[in-house]
Amino acid sequence: MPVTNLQLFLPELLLTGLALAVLLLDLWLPRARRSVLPVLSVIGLLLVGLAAASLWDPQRGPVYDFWNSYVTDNFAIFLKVFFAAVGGLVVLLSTDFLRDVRAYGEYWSLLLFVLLGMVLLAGANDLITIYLAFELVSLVSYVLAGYRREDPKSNEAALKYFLYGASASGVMIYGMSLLYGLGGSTNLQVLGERLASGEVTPLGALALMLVLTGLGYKVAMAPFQAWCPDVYEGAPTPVTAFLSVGPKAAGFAVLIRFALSVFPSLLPQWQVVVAILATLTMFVGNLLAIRQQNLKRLLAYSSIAHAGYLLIGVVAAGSQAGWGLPAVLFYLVAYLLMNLGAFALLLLVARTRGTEEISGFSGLAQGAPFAAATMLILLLSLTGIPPTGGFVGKFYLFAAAIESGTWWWLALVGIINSAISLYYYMNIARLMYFGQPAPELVKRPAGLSVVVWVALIGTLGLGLVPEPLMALARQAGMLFVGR
Amino acid sequence: MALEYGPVAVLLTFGVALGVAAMVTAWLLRPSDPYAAKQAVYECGMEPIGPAWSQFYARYYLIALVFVVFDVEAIFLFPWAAVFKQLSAATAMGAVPLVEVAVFIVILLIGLAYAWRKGDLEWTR
Amino acid sequence: MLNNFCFWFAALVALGASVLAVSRRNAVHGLLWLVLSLLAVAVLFFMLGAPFAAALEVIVYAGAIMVLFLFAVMMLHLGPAAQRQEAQWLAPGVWIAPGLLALGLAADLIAIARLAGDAPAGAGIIPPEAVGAALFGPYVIGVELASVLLLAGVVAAYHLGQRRDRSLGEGAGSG
Repeated sequence: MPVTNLQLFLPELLLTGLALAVLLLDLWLPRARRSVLPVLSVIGLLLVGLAAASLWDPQRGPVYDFWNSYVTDNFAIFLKVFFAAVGGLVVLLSTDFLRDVRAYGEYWSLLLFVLLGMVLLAGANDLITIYLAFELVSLVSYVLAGYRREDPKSNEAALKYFLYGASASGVMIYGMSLLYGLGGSTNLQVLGERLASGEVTPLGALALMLVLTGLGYKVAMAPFQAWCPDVYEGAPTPVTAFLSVGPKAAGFAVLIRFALSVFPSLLPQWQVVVAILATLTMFVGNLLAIRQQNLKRLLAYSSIAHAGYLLIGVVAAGSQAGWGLPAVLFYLVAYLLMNLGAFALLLLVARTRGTEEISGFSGLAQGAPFAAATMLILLLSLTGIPPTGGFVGKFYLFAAAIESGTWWWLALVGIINSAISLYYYMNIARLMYFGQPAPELVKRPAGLSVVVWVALIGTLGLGLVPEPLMALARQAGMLFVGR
Repeated sequence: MALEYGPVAVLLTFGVALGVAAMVTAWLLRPSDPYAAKQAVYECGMEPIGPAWSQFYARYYLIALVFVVFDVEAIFLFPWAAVFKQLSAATAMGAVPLVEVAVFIVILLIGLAYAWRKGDLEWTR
Repeated sequence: MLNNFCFWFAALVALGASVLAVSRRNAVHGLLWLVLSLLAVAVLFFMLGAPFAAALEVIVYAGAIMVLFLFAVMMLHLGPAAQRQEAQWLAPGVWIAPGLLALGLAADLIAIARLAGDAPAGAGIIPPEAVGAALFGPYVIGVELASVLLLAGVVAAYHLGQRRDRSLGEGAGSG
């Protein structure tokens, strides 16, 4: 079936047009008027999100298009709206940073290119599409991590990210080539059927392992997490905020679609592997976070830990109960809000106090009670304490593990890890409220304030009224239920 | 399939054989009388000075990159041209393959415009 | 018989050239070995019945991309100092353990591949027309995505390669 319905492709087309328009405008607009680019980006991303949302139809099953290489289902639509939101918030986070370093339009167009890659990953249903979209996301992410070319740390971040990322891509495409050899197709469903029809071959298991390794690098899953802290610390803070949510979520999207479409025949095997790695990831992230003095490093380890929590949902997604997928989607939204909020506050504090160490937050409650209170709520959410979105998200993830039967012990591991994380998150809270008082935050750029407000309202809103989003997440996860 | 490319193999064999034969013949016939000036690297008649390593400008790299981009574009265009008739006959609207490739080229041309506008194609600035 | 011989010959050349490409201390020498390795891989593609892919490998990889590599090497101005550094990095103590590990993994891979049994290689000859029909048919998203990827690559390379004086401002903290 050739191209049938371009309307389903509207979000992608809009986003491509937006990225190209921003790129060209940057070339021909006079320097003074380039501040219009972020405004245009936010408005455009809003439209992309709306276009994606307009495709939402709870009744509709997956629609395959472009010779089955691209799929539009509620899972993909949910993620597309999510990615548009990620993009919008990161643009708002970045305006201030780019004013400091004299704005260049290529930042905005590069950011939009990554988002395009992520949006395509949400719907990719073919090995080639997946790989190319992944490369688009990775390649541009490396450059964004090294955006401050004068800063040796930023360069180091870009180089490390590139070396690890390139090896991961190599491993992943090797696994994909084995899959193509085994199944004789690049289409995920066809591959799944062919793998299921024969008995499970060692080569199939090997391909699974290789693809899992490649994706594991991208989502910073232990034991492939080594690059993460250095890259997150060295990259410009708004980019770090983006990397900790965007590409990670895209990696999870591919992981889930891959695992459920291609490897249903290897379900028990991959569940065991992912469950073990999830446990490892949680412990590595949380235990190493304790010793961090730099807040960006701490948030890097914390993001590793959160990848571990999300992996619980991935394991549960393979089970009949069907709780895993909605829980992962819900948690991604909650994590987006609380994490970007924390990064926005880090930017605010670093701007006034000139340090990214945790000590910068010392005595924040005296100088800026509102910022401190917001940070406290976000930290509670990251730990998983009510009444916040983080709590509800974790609750759904752990419930999914328990509902799946076999994997109930993952919930226990998750709870132990949440307890560990309480220590380092609350250490920041302690500093804010009982540390040496410090001057108040004088500068409050508008973009950052908006992100802080969105994060605060969103986190509390998800904590108090989780049901509407959860209903949507359930519809998005429908297609994989009862496999 | 090997037969189809037989002429290529023959050409390759003869090409290599000719080169080897010329060198072997020269080696057999020539007198051997090496001295320093003769052993030196031939550099258009200039005295070779300093190491062969020299630093290039970053600009060369950017120009080479633009070259690679359009090299790849040509690679994509070749198979497209080979099946254009067949493709436009197969799709109800003959324009579909044209649009496909037009989108592809326009996006790459924006890359060229970008490099141009940013001054990467100018030799001195 | 001839096919078999050609396959093993090209495969051995590709392997040997790759090892040499990694282990040479002079970056340009390594690059030349890499070109040889890519040419050998092109021969393998040809033997598998994909002449178009073979031509592509020569034109794009052995040709264009290696030029890019060479420019990058020259741009970075690697000289004797870089060679000494590389000699240090490639001291036997550094590579023996990972090398053994990699050998073990390779043995593992081969064993698993043997278990899977042999499969016929290739499905006849794939002419350029078939490649075109696939590219502008089922894989059209991939083609358009490739153009976006190349464009993003140009923009990204421009950002990294632009002149110093037009670059970003100073400042210690990136906050």
